[in-house]
Amino acid sequence: MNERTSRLLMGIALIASLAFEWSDVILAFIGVLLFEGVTNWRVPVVLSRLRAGGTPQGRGSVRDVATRIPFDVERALRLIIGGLLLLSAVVLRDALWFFPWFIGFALTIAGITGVCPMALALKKLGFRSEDPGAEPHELTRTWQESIAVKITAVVVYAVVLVAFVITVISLWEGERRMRGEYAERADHLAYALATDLHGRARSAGGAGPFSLDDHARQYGFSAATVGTPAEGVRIGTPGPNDVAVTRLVAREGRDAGMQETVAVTLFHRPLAEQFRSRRATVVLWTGGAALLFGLFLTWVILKFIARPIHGLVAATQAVAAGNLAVRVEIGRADEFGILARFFNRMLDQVVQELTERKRTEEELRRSEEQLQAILDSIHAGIMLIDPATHEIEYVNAFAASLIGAPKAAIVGRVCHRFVCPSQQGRCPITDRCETVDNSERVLLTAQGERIAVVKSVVSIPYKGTTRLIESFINISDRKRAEENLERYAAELRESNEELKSFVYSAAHDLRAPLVNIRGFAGELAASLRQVDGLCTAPELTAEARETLLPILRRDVPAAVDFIDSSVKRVDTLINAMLKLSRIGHRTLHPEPVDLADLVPGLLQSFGHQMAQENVTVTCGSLPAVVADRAAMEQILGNLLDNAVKYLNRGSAGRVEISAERTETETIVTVRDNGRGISGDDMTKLFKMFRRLGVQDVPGEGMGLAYVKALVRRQGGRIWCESEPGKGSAFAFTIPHEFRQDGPSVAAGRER
Amino acid sequence: MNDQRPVTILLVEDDPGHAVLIEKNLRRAGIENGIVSVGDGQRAMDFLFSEGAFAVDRLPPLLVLLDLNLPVLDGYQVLKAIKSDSRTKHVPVIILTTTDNPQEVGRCYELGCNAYVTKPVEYDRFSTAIKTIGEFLTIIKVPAKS
Repeated sequence: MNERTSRLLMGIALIASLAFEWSDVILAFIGVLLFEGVTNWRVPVVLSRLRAGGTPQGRGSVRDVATRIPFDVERALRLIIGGLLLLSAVVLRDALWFFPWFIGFALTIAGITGVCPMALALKKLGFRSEDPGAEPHELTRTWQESIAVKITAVVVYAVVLVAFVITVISLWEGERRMRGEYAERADHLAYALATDLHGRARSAGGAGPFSLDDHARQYGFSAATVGTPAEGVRIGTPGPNDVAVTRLVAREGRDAGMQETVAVTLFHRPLAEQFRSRRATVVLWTGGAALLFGLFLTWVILKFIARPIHGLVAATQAVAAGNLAVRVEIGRADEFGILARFFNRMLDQVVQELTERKRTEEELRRSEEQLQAILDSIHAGIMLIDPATHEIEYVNAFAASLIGAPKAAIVGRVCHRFVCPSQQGRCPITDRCETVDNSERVLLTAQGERIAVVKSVVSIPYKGTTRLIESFINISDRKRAEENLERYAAELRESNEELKSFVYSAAHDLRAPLVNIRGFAGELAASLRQVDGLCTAPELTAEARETLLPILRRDVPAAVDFIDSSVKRVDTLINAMLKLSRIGHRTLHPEPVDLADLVPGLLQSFGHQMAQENVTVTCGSLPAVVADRAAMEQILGNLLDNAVKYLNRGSAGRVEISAERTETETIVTVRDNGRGISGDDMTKLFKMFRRLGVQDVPGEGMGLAYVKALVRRQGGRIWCESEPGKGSAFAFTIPHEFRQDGPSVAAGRER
Repeated sequence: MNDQRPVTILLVEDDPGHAVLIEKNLRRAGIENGIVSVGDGQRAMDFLFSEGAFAVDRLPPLLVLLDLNLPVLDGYQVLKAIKSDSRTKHVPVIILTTTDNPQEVGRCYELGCNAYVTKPVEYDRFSTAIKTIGEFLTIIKVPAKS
C-alpha cells in the first residue's frame, strides 16, 4: 500500500470523524483497515504467484505483470473502496450536507498532499517518475522518496492532526456548552415570564402571549407553549424534530395571594443539526488553512531544501559525468551554503589535483617521448632483455634497422636469435657468468647476415628484478676499413720490400758492367804500360814483338770490346729503368675496354708467330672492364707473348684466355701448357732483368716487371700459378672501380 | 797444392768480362790450378752432378767461386744443391758477387757458403780482392774425397 493511498484513507477517516457521528469514525477506520489489509496482503501474493509461474523467457513479461497489473488492481480497489465510503456517507447522511463537507475534504486532502505541487516541481527539477528503466543516478526513483516530500508530508500531517484535534475538542466543548446554554435560556425565559406575570391577574392574560412571544424569539426558541399544550397558549409552530424544554413558572393565581404553576414548554432546533453546519464550516476553514499551509510549506521546503539539494545533486551529477568546471552557486549562509562552499572547494582541489596529475603525466609522457627520441636517434643499438627468459623487451630504432626487422618483430623473441648467435642459447652472462664489455661480437640480422659489433652488457635493477641492457655499435665498416688498411699496409710492405730489393738488384745490375768497365780499363792501362815499356826499349826485339803483338791484337781489342759491351749494357739497363719509371708516371685514362674486342686484335699481331709455333688460342667469354686501353694492351700483349715464347718445343701449344667477374673485380687469366716455372723461380718472376729457365729465346727480362707495374697502377693484383713442364697461368685483376695508383705502389713508381 | 790431385777451381760467372778479369787476376796471384769457367747455374750443376767425364765420384778436389745472379739457375740454387748433396757438401764455396745486400750475405751463409766476397767496382781493389782470394787458395786445405 503506497503512501498516497494511506494518506487518502487517513484523510477520509479524519473527515468522517468530523462530519458524522462517532459511529462513522469507527466505520471509516474499519474501511481503512480493510483497504490496507486487502492491498497489503494482495500485492505480495500476486507477485509471488506471478514469479512462481514465470518462465525464464517470460521473465520480462512477468515483471511487467508484477509491476503493472497489481497497481492497476490496487488503483481500482482504492477507487471502489473510496467510492463506497463516500457513497455510504452520502446515502446514510443528509445529502445536502455533503457538499460543504466534500469541499472541506478536498481542501484538506489538497493540503495534506500539498506536497503534490512540490512533487511536480521536483519532477520538473529532475526527479523522475516511476520509470523502471531509468538510470540510477537520476535522483530518487519516485517523487515520494524525496526527503523534501517526506518532511513536508510529516509537518502537514502533524499540523492537520493537531488542528483537527483542537477542532474536535472545541466543537465537543461548544456542543456541551450550547446544550447548557439552551437550558440556561429556558431558565432565563422562565424567570422573565415569572417577572412579567407577577402581579397580574390571570384574567389579564392578554399580555401573557405577547411577552412569551417576545422572550421566545429573544432567546432563539422556535416555538413555546404555556400551560398544557391542549389548553394553554401556544406561540409559533415547532418543527417536527424540534426538541422541547419544559420549565415551570409560578404566577399569581386568580385569587390574590394564590400562587399557581404554569408549565412553559420551549422548542428549539436539534443541537446536532446546528452542529452539523458548524462542523462543515470548520472543516472548510481547516481544509483551506491546510491547503495554504501545505502550499506555503512546499514553497519553503522547495526554496530552502529541495532546490539547494537539487543544485548540489545536479552539480554532483555533472561532476560524475566528467564536467569538473561546474560550481554550485552560493547565495546562502545556511548549511547548504556551507555544503556548497565545501563542495566547490572540494571540486577546486580535485581540479587542481587533476591538473597537477595531468601536468605530471604530461611531463612523464614528454620525458618518455624524449627518452624514446634519444634512444632512437643514438647510433648504437640498445636492447632490454629479461635474463630469466632471454626475451627481448625493448629494442631501439638503430638496433631494429641493424637487425633489419620492425621493432614489433624483434620484441618478444629470444635474444640469441639476433645477438650472440654463435653461442646458440648459452648466454655468456647468465650461463657462463662472463662480463661483456666492449667486446667484439657478431650480430645475426633477420636476413641471416652477420654483422660485426662491439657490445657491452650491463645488468640493471628493474621493477624488483634485473634486466640486461645490451648496447652495441656496428663496426663492420670499421672492420672493413681495418681489413683494408691491413691489406694496404701489407701491400705497402710488400711494395717496399720490392723496392728495396729492386734497388739492390738495380745496384747489382749496374755495378756488374761497371766492374767490367773499370776492370778492362785497368787491364787496358796495364797493357798500355806494357806496350809502352816494350816500345821505349832501344830496339824492338823479336821476343818483345812476340809479347807486344798478342797485346795489341788480342788483349787490347778484347778489353775495348768488353768496355763497349758493358757501356751498352749500362745503357740498356738505364733505358729499361726509365721505361719502368715512365710506366709509373704516365697518366692512365680509364675508359670502358671491351676485352672481347681487344683480345682478338692482339692475337692478330701474333698471328704469324702462332702459326709458326702451331699454337691454338681459345677465348672464354670476355667482359668489358674500365681500364686504360694502352695498359691493357701492353699487359695482355706481354702475357700472350710470354705464353707463346715459352712453350714446350715440339708439342702443340695451347693458350687460353678467360675472365671471371667477382663482386669487386674482374679476374683475367692467361693459361698456357708451356714449360712452366719452378717454385724457386716464382719469387723472381716479376723482377727486373730476371729471365728464368733456359735462355733460348731473346728477351731483356723486363716484360713481367712492366706488366706488374701496369696492373698495380690500375689497382689490380697479379699472380702466377705454374707447374714445371705442364704450364703456367698468369692471372691479374682489374677492379670494377678504377683506382689509379690504388693502394698498391707500382714497382718502379717510387723512383 | 801438395795434394796428389790438384784442386780445380770451378768459376761460375755469367758475365764473360768478369770471368776474364777474375781468371787474369787469379793467374797473376800465381794460381796455376785448373780453372773451369761456366756461364750459368745449370752448367755448373751439370759439371758438378753429371755422369760421364765429370761424374761426381770422379771429380777432382774442387773449390767453387760462385756468382749469385745467374741465368737459368741462380747462385743460391747452385749453392743449395752443393751443400745439400752429401757428395758435394764438403766442397768449399766462395761467393763472389757484386751484391753486398746483407740479406743475401746472410742467406748465403745460411745455405752453407764458406766465404762471401764482394766484387769491388774499383779495379785496383778488385784485383787485390781476387789476388787475396788467390793467396788464400794457396794456403787452404781442401778435403779430398777419394
